[in-house]
Order: sequence, then structure tokens, then C-alpha cells
Amino acid sequence: MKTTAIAACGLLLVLLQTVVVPALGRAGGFYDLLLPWVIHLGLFRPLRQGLPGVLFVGLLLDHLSGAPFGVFLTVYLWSFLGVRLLRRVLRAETPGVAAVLLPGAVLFENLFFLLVMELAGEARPLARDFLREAGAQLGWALLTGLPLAALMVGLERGFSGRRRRGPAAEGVP
Amino acid sequence: MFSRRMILAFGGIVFLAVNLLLIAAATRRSVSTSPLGVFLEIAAPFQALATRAIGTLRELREDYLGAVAAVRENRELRRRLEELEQIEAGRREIEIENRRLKELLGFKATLPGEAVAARIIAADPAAWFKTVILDKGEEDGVRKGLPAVTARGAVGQILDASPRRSRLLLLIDYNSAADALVQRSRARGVLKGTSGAECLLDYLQHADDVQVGDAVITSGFDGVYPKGLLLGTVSAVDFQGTDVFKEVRVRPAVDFDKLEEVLVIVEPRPKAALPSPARR
Repeated sequence: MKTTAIAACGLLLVLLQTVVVPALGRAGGFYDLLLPWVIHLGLFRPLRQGLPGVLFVGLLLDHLSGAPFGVFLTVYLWSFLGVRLLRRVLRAETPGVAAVLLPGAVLFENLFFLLVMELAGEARPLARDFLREAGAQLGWALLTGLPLAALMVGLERGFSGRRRRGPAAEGVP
Repeated sequence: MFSRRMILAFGGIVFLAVNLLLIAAATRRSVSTSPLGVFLEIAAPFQALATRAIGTLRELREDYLGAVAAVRENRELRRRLEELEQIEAGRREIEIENRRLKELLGFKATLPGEAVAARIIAADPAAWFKTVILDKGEEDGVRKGLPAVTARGAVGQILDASPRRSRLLLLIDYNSAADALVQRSRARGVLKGTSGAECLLDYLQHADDVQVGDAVITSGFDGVYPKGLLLGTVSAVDFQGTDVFKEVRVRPAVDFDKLEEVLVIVEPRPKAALPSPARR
């Protein structure tokens, strides 16, 4: 998958997260849709393709969000590097591994956001609000992690396969 | 003695006479007593059966054709119904939007300054940061720091603006703060967002009178929001004897999950009093 295609997929997920998910009334309670994408890039794509993709979506979200600049970039970069490190240790690159890593990444992101809000020194979320939100996100991550990871792998394989078969099938030299 | 021709002629005459006599006799009887009637009686049940069978077949054919036509008609009616349901849903949506915009327009007239109506086009990607993107920007007069409101109350303030878009920091974001008054007792505090469902009314001292159900309004002293905008209602008051300030939770007046349009006050006059929210 080329870097441009990775960027396009990231952009699509950003649109889903900022426009479609809130329109469905699930703005709160659903986890960051870019996290499974970052895990996917970390597990299944080479560093030279995955890293620009992660930097692209991180910068994009930092510009779109009201969060302090660099928060998303930091979360995605550390998640990506963590997944790369675990890939070396686990030596297993399957959707199942991605599904197991997702709740961890969701928890990491929520705790990091909480830390940022604490450091900002203004009012912080009430404990019950935090537990409810983080709990709901973890629940969704556990529930949808595997199908989503399998879907991403399947779509990428389908896309790559068609690209490889395409010119030959059409008789292009 | 008699020639063959004579015998044939005589025979012919006799046959004709007998024939005429038989016809004459038959015309005088109303009902045939021909032995053919027996055959009719024998054939009749079969004929009736065959007729009934043909009738049944005809009915079946008509029923089948009718059923086919009914299925086609049913399919067409279902399609039409779906179309009408879609049209009805669209009409209902327009009606709701119309009501909402009328409400907003009516409220706009009560504002002390000029306001620009803006539509929310996207939400914050993170659940903990409560900002939204508006479809109006600097070209429409929207600038950083301007307040946004709806007929229900204050919504937030503009965080930054590009030529045609702007980002609105909602009142419930943990970075948000608004100078507030408890409408009944005039106790003054600062309403802070928590990025959750409720806000905190901070800096209310022991002596300050605040009760659950009290309306909290903007004071106008922060230089952002005009005075008198409804912020929310007190939902809980926690107070320990050793605390310096009371912990007051406020449920925002605006339902931020259902927010679709806002008015950005482009010429705010913070000191001017708005009609009381209680009277609106």
C-alpha cells in the first residue's frame, strides 16, 4: 500500500470520526477510530510507510481538535512505536494480535488525555464521568476490535491483490 | 309386369309420405321421447363435471393472473410507500429544522448585538475535548473570543477562526470558564467545564446561598458573554465544613449532544442585560 493510499485511508477515518460517528449520536462512548489504524500500520506495514501515515493523522487531528497541540501526535506515535516493539517480541502479525492491542491503546490514550487535563490545571473530569467514558470505550474496543482488524487486513489484501493482478488481467504489458 | 323404374318411383312416394306423416306427428309432441335422451342423461354428469373443471381451471387462471398482478401491484405500492416515507421523513426534518431556526431567529432579535447563524459541521475527534467546527469564519465576522448562544442559553466561545470556518469551544470543555451568577441569590462564581455531562460552579463561599434547582446565568463581567444568558441549573451542592468553597455542580441548559446550529454574537455588548431566562 502506497503512502498516499495510507494517508487517504487516514483521512477517511478522520471524517468518519468527526462527522459520521457524532451524527449517529455516538460522539461519546466510542473509541478513537484512528487507534486501530495506527495499530494496523504498526503491525502490517513497513516503517517507511507506517510512520508518515501516523504523523499525517496525528498532525491532522491535532489541528482539528480542541486538545493542546501535539496530544494526538504523541499518542499515535507512542502507540505506533509500542506496536512495532511488541511485533518484534511477539513475532505474530495477525488481526487477533491487533484486536488484543486495541484495548491497551484505548486505555493509554484515555489516561494520557486525563494527564494532559490534569497538567492544564483547569477543571478535570469527574471520576464517574471518566470511568463511564473510558469503560464504554474499552467495551467497544473489546467488542469491535477483532472484526475491525480483520476488515482492515482483508481490505488491504484485496486492494493489494487487485493492484497486482490488475495490469496482467487487462493485458497491459 | 311392373318395371323397375315404376317400383322405384312408388317406393319413393311411399317413403316421402311416411316421412311427412312422421314429421307431422312429431310436430304435435312438445317433448322428445327419442331414445337419444338416455344418452343425454348418461353424458350429462360428465359434461357438467367437465364444465365445472373448465370453470375451475378458468378461475385458477384468473386467480393466478390476479395474484401475479397483485404481487406486481404490491411491489409497486411498497416502493411508492417507501418513497412517501422518505419524503415524509424529509418533510418532518425540514419542519423540525424550521421550528429550530424560527426559535433561533426569534432569540436573535432579543440579542443586544448582531449575530451570525452558524451550522455545526464536525465534532472534536476526541471525546474528552469538547469543541465543534462551525461553517462560518472570518469572512462572516466570526473571530476568536466571540460568544456563541442558542435560544436555550450560552454554548461557548470561538477558539480560533479561518476565513470560512471556525472552532467553537463548548461550555462543557475542561478549558472553558464563564463568569456566572446564581440568578436567585446573585451569588457569583466561575462556571468551569469538566468535559463531562456537568459543569462546576467554582469559588462559591460558605455564606453564598445556592440550592439545587437554582438557575445559573452569565454575569457579563468576563467580557465574553452578555449578561443574563442561561448557563444551566444547579444539580448538586457538596459542602464539607473544612472546605473553603462549595462544590456546586451545574447541569448545562443546552443539550450539547443535539446541538446543530448556534448564533455567534459578532458585536457583543457584554454589559447590556438580556431578558431574564426565566421569562423567556
